[in-house]
Amino acid sequence: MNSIAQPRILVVDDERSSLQLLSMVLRHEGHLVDAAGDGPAALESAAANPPDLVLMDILMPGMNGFETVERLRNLDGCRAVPVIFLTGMEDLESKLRGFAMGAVDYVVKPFHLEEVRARVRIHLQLAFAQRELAEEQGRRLRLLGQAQREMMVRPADLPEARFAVHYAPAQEAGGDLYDVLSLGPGIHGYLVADVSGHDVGTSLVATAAKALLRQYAGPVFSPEETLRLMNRALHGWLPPGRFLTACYVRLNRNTGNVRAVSAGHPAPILIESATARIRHLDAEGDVLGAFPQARFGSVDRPVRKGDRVVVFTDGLFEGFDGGFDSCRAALEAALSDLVRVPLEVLPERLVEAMGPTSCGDDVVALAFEV
Amino acid sequence: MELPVVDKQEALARLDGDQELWDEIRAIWLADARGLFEVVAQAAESRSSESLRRAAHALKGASANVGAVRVTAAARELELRSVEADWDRLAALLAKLREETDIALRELPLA
Repeated sequence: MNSIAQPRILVVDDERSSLQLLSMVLRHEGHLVDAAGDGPAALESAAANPPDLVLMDILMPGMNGFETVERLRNLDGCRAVPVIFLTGMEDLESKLRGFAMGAVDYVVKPFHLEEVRARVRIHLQLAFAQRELAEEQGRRLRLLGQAQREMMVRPADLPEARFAVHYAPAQEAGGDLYDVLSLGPGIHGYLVADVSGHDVGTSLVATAAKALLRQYAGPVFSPEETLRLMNRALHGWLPPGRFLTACYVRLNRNTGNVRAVSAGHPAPILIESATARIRHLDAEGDVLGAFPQARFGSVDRPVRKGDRVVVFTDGLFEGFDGGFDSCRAALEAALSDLVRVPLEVLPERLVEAMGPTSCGDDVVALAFEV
Repeated sequence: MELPVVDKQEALARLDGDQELWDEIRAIWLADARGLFEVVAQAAESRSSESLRRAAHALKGASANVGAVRVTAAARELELRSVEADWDRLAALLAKLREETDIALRELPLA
């Protein structure tokens, strides 16, 4: 989008005098005007210079105005561009079809210049006001995302939990979250979760999930009970269609045991220090928040000092075409090269090794050491 | 009451009374009108009512801008009747359109 000081308008009409008339009038108003005599020329122009407003004739030979607008909507920067259709006086059907296609207005031929100017002005003002609104929303999302990041516990805040994390929300306010909490001397809980969707609501759900975890993670509850109680609270509160996948791991350093509970989430991985062996801690469970009665399976493993557990979101597999097995194979290969790296860099290096994750999903990779 | 060949006043009112702008539109019409009419005539000859509708629509639009109201009316009639595909009737309307176009081509330069 261009500046409101000099908006760019694309005028499309196969009839030369109309095209000339509109172009000249709008140029005199101070607008940048691109004139196109047919649909293909219009698309070419819009691809090179996305307009702020389009004036589109309907009845043109070859590609008509409706078809042109449909294709225009697929171009970068033109998805939401306002379109004013140019129609004949008696063309009620075209007018209705134009509105159905998302036209903002129409101008009747032969043109009354005063009317053209007024309609163009009002729709440019609307378009720019909408853009400002969207930018304001973006600013709020960024603030929310920042607050969300600041609320995440950092390794230095809880050194005895011995964890490292890579946290890269793809959106300003993302749906991925992690939390690490102390559950008593030598006992820690590690949560990684992924909220469905990418919007402001998503990050609110993420915040709520963390609050619920802290409420229900205490020593009186087993990890399965923690997720069950979280599920009950979330189910009563989440709108339909909204849910979380989560993996919650509790490590007891006193007894040398990890218990992993899954809520429809990728299985965490245990790397045994002595043998460099990699084990998937598979457990089956329902997603969180979707059903009133959900089941969460768990898996227990004995662990020794130096063993590591990696918990992650499926963002790690973005960019993989293959199925479950090929994702796992890639993960095992990546981790087997990273067995001896310092814990602090393990999550980062794992994400790097899994390749570009710029494909739109968030990624969390969290590793902790016994 | 018969329409005038050119309603310059009405056209100028739409164009903010801008005589220069009207002159430009007139020049374009004088250059294009014959060609636009020929497209209409060819469509009628090949008896394609959709082509006829589109061609008449184009001539109508161009003529309306400049205020050539009788050509506009004749082209409009042809555009609206094209769907009926009553080719005898359309031939008569085409003859009328040719006559009006010829008159406007003669009179518009003097307006």
